[in-house]
Amino acid sequence: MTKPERAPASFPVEIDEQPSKRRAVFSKAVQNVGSWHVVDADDTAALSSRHRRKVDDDSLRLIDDLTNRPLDPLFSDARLTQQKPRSAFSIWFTRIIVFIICIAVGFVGSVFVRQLNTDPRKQVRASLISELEQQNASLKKITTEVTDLHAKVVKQADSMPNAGPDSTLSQDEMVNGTLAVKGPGIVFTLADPVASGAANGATPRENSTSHIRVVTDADLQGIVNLLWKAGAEAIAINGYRIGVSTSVRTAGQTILIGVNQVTSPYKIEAIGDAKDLSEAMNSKSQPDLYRTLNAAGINPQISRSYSLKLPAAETTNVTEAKRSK
Amino acid sequence: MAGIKKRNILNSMHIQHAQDRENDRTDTGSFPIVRKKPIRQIGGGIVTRLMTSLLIVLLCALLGFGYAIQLNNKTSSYETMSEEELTRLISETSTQVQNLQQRKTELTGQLNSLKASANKQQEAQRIAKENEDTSGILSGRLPAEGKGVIITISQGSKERIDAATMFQLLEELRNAGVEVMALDNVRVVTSTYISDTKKGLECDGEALKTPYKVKAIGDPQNLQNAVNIAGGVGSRFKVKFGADVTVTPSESVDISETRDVGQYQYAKTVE
Repeated sequence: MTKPERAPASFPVEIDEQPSKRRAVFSKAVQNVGSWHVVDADDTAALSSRHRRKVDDDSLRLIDDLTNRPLDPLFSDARLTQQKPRSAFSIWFTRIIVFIICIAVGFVGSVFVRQLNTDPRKQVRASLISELEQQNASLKKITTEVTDLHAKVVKQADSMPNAGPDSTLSQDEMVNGTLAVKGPGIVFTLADPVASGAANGATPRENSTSHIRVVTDADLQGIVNLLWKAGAEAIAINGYRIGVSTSVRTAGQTILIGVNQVTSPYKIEAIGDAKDLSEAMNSKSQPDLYRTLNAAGINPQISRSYSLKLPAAETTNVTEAKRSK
Repeated sequence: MAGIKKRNILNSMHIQHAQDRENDRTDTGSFPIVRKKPIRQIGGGIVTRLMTSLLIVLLCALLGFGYAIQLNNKTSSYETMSEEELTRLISETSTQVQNLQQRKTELTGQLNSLKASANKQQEAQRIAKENEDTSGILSGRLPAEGKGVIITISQGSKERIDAATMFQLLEELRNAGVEVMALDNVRVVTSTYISDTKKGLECDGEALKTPYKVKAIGDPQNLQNAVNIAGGVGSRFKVKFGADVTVTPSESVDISETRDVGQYQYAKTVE
């Protein structure tokens, strides 16, 4: 093996053949670089005198080019000129310029995207949301006030001589759900399926590719209906008691219990005979319900509890209805 | 003899081979030799590599954390509601606030009169009776009358009306602020349920006959809207089951159906 370091990189170019400047494809000089053929004067004369068709064959020319001019003139130009090493300043200057351009393009791009994504009604909605939150706050406040007042009135009335605690009233209120209660019962829990369906291996992914079925207000209504049928005495969903005028419904994608928002996981607490309730709600008694829920990857769970504590539902005001005889 | 000859042949083959290699050499020294680029090392070896892996691990952990947070996001989702829904919710909430305000005034009046009245005994009885009436009307113990609507739902021509939709109707009416309701001859209370049987619908264990008749006391306009709202339960009855739904507002809906309020066995009041 010879040491390549010792050998010259290439044959030195003679001084008079040294090109003065580089040519490039986009320079004007590029026309001058095309292949050229030197034709001797004698040959031209001979050719014209031969009275034969001048053969100007492309393939012959290609062979001629390959054998006699194998190197592209542009290439030899590029190889032969000395490339001046660029100064550190120019390198860094270019880099900085490019960096600034990148930042500018990115910035303008994101501005455009933001512009495209702006929701013209967002402010309106934001003001509505703040109003709603305010309403909710005042609702909460007034609810506690009313509950307090009610308790005071009942206490005052009960403290009168010859007027013990009113059992009819408290029974009524128990039925209406306006009293906080405790007792044994079951907790029925169901949650939206995890988006990937990885929560349980049996979930068929095919069913959940287009859109994922989540727990709806109809599901909750159905379960509440079933629980009442099974003999529940008091029901609360996520801590909101179902009273005589409490409805389960949706607004947008949110499930509301009365006016309170609830989100997954839904915890439905029901006071009653724990054994009866859990038997009425298990997969054997409700095969259809479980089939549809399981198909969507929702796995309801029942747990018995010895002591559930449910809060009171909001008090309802009777304005239209009068007692009739 | 043979050995020497053999060695000679081997020797000449070696020589031939060496010559061939010499002749076949491609590095003439005329061309610059371009070597393969050495693999660039970032910084200094093992420490850099360790730092890179650490950084990747950190980023992965952050990604997982963010995903978990997003998955467990339980905060309010008012953001996703449309203007229309928001407006509806606001008006519902404000109606409820007004109702409670009224109730509060009522209770304050009761409390004041209890405290101030000369004949406390009588006053207490009066108030107790007032409260009893209110709660008795709500609990279904007392008959009631007042403004409201009467809803008639004919038998479905496409298929039989199911319990879920009927229950949904009750929920929609509750949401619209109904005070007293009766479904056919059954007084609707908190724990009213509807179930499907082979013969038809059953409410609290009593079979219902078609056409189903729902009597409801409450603001007639609100109740009417609740049933007739586009895409609501009324159109579900019409489209899915092919039933005719008529809502007739009435100045005086008389609900004479009552039910006994039994003592609960399991639920006990919390002091």
